[in-house]
Amino acid sequence: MFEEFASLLGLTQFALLYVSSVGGLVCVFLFILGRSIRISREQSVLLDRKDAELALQWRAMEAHAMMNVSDAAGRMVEVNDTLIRASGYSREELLGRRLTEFLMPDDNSPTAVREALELMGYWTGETKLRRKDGGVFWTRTTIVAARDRNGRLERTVSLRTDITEIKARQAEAQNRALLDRLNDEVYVFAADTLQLLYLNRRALAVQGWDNSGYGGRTLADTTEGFDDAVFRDRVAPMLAGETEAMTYESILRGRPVEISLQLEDGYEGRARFIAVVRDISLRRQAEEARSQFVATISHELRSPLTSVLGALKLVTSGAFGQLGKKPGAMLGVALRNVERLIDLINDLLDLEKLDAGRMTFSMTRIDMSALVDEALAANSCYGDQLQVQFRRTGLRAVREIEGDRARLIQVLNNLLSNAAKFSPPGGQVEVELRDAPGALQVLVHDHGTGIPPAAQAHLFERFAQADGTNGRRPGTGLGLSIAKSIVEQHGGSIRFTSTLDVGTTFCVEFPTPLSLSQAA
Amino acid sequence: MTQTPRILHVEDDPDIREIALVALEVVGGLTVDQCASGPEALQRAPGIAPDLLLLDVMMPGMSGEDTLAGLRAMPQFADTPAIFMTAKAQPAEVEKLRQLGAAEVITKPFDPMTLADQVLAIWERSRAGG
Repeated sequence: MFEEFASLLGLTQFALLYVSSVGGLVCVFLFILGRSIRISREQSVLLDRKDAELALQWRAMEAHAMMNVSDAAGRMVEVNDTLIRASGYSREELLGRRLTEFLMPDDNSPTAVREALELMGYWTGETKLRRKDGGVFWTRTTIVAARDRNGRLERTVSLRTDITEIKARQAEAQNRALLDRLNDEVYVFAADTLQLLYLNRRALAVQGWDNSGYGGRTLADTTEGFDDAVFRDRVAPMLAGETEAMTYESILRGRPVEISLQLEDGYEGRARFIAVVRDISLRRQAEEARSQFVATISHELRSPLTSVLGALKLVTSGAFGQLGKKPGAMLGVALRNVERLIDLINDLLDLEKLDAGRMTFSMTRIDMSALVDEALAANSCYGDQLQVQFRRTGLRAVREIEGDRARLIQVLNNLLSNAAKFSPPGGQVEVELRDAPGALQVLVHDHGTGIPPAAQAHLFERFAQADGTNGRRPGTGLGLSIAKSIVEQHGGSIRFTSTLDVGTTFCVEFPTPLSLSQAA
Repeated sequence: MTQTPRILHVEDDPDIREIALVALEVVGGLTVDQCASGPEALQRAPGIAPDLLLLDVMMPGMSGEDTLAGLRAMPQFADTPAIFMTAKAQPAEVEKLRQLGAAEVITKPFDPMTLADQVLAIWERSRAGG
């Protein structure tokens, strides 16, 4: 027993030399002790006197460093309590297994260890290990090889110091160095007290503080007129664990900003917020310029189109007498295409408004049943032109939803005109109103060509109109995309089913006022 | 006896003036006087004594809104029904024009075959106090 202990120390003393953080004194002392143990049994009396100190030093090493002894095959034959505590595994779970089994997949140290043991008899480096609970712990490690007289590997002794916290701090320092390079302001603050824990360089510059100047300050010190209650209301879903991140726009120091908030656990287990504040003045200016550009262009286009459309309509309507067949047909072509251009301009304006979130909806209670009648009346003339008949089916009773009347008419017009356009002459389009659980549905059935499967996936995308208008008035390819956006702004949904040469059914579903109030 | 209104149409674009004139007079049988600018309208309006004002919104110099304000400052036009015509069809824009005292807003491009009917309907509604 004593000899085993002495032999173990012989290896240990050597290993300890390479563990700087163990402390030089401990190493030297144990080294001397190890040697003295081997000197002679006659000096055992002296050693006896040293036993207490030896045990003390051993305990110090035990407390500080993780240790394992492995056999020639790399299987652990001895592990100390510190390694057991750090890894979370029991002694029984560790013994007989190779330590490499506990390395994280991105730890490439085994190759280096083998080569160093072969060449030099020891290896020092860092290892990244997996705890039983799935966590990671980093160690500074020295492994020493013991060989027999023939140079065959007998065993290795590994000493490890936990450097997880140092690695975490290094990573955080690197992250902070990166954050300092950002043009966005970054604030890290405690979730409970809102005390500032970190500001990046940009945030410090904006606040006019130096690096040490925010120690006792809180988030309230960063913004004039900061309302604690409003902020806590806003982040309540994050603190309740409903969401980990949120982004919102605000005005800070007179400038529009986008604020991204993230909640995370700090190293001390104390929840903290990371806020990234981005100045979006330039983005806003660009959006404003684009919006202005679209509005101006559309106005500038509409004025000449008013003249062209007006002149063509007057001439083709016979206001100046009947036209010959050919000139009439040619002017008809011109008229249809002017109308198409006007549709396109209107659709582009709508899309611009939807994209910019500037389409306003004046919501009122609307009887969908009456609205369907209105849409049918508005489209009957178009149906007549295409020799397509509209027929109302399903519910006829009053059914109210919350909506914007003009926009809902726009959606119905789109669906009805599409259905007529894709129907054969002499065809029929049924418009059905029906109840659904918590919702009201309008279905538009046509018996036309159907939508090719390849086109179905992209039907609501812009400019995605499928072929098959049979040479009739083509659309802008924007109508369904706009209809979908409008329906979704109403909290509803739009979908379709289609079979080639059988027909297509579009279904628009709106929540009924009762389900809306329940959802609220 | 159906009385038709005498209309003062103010529009800077000569082509649109031409279309509107045909639409209102030839198609609709109404009586129309036209001006090419706001200042011209303010100068000629007392002599024309219109029953209804039809004003383009975006005109160089004096806008349709300013023209209406100028006409409203004359006691004889303080209550004359006014219709704006605009190529800016955004609801917010339309609402703003209504706030200025417009009886209705007609968006461009308009349909020349139905313009006279539209204008008459608005005039009838205004006369009825609607």
